[in-house]
Amino acid sequence: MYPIATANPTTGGVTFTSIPQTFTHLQLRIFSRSSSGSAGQSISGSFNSDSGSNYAYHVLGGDGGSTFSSSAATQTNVYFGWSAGTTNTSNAFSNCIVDILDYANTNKYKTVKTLTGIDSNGSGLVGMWISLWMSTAAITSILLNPNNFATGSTVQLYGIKTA
Amino acid sequence: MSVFLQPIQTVTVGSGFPAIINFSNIPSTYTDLLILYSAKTTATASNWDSMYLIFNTDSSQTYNSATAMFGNGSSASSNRDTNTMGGFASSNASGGTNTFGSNSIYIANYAGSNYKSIITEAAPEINSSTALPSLISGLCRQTAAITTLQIGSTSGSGLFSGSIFSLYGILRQGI
Repeated sequence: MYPIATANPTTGGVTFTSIPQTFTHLQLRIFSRSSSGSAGQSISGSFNSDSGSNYAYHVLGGDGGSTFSSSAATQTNVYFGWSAGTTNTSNAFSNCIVDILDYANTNKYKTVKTLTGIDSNGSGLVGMWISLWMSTAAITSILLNPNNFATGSTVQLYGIKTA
Repeated sequence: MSVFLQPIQTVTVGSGFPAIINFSNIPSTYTDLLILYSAKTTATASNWDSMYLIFNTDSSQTYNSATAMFGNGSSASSNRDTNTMGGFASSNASGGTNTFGSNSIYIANYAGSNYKSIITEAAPEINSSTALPSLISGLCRQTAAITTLQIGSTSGSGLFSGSIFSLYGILRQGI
């Protein structure tokens, strides 16, 4: 597992460009708080600057009192889990571990698997997001959370090789 | 440079739609194992298929049990299975030519003499309301070190060319 890039945004989003094609899998590790919006807002993004209706997602989650699931097809964003928001406890951030397998394979759509959670001392979310980017293009750039990362957030991109 | 995940073996599925893939001669020098796979089966019965794991060629599955939580896009639920280490949702042929699911299987303390615990994450996403994100924890009540692993489709369906299974060892301090 090899570190490719780290971002420490103080505002706005994060974009990783020129992602090397020399790995088999990618992993994002996101430590996130938003400067706007409520608790538990989703972290949206895109691959290769594609803003078309080429994404879909499903969610499996729990909020400490009940479980839930939701989905949407033909979306204009990929999703990478939940972020803490302005109504969460101060200094609380979410965690997201995002796997993007076979990201450079030009015969496959790209399936994204995220384990994510945020606890806020009295409320919280834990769950899994899965997303699909309906493109066979190799992923060369990733945009995350346009417009609203708060100071203290970090996003790390890793490459994973195979034997 | 890599200090955490060490690649051990990779199986890339070619032609012929094999029903099962094998990892053998797994070294006992790590603490845990991780399998990452991007795969699709030839089944068409629903929008996903189910995969299973076999330890040390013990296909009887008698010693295995699993607890699952999954969501179908409108509600979440949980169940338990005995005599299996399976139920890992995976993409199948109904998702279209280019759609492959993404899954991970973490196997803790695989070389120790305790029972073997696993946790899996499954992402068989398609552009539809029906997919099945799922989390499964499993227990294999066997004390032997794991030296071989097999993964196959519960339906007995084959694996599509381009499916890739990557086995990693998690390093411990001192290696």
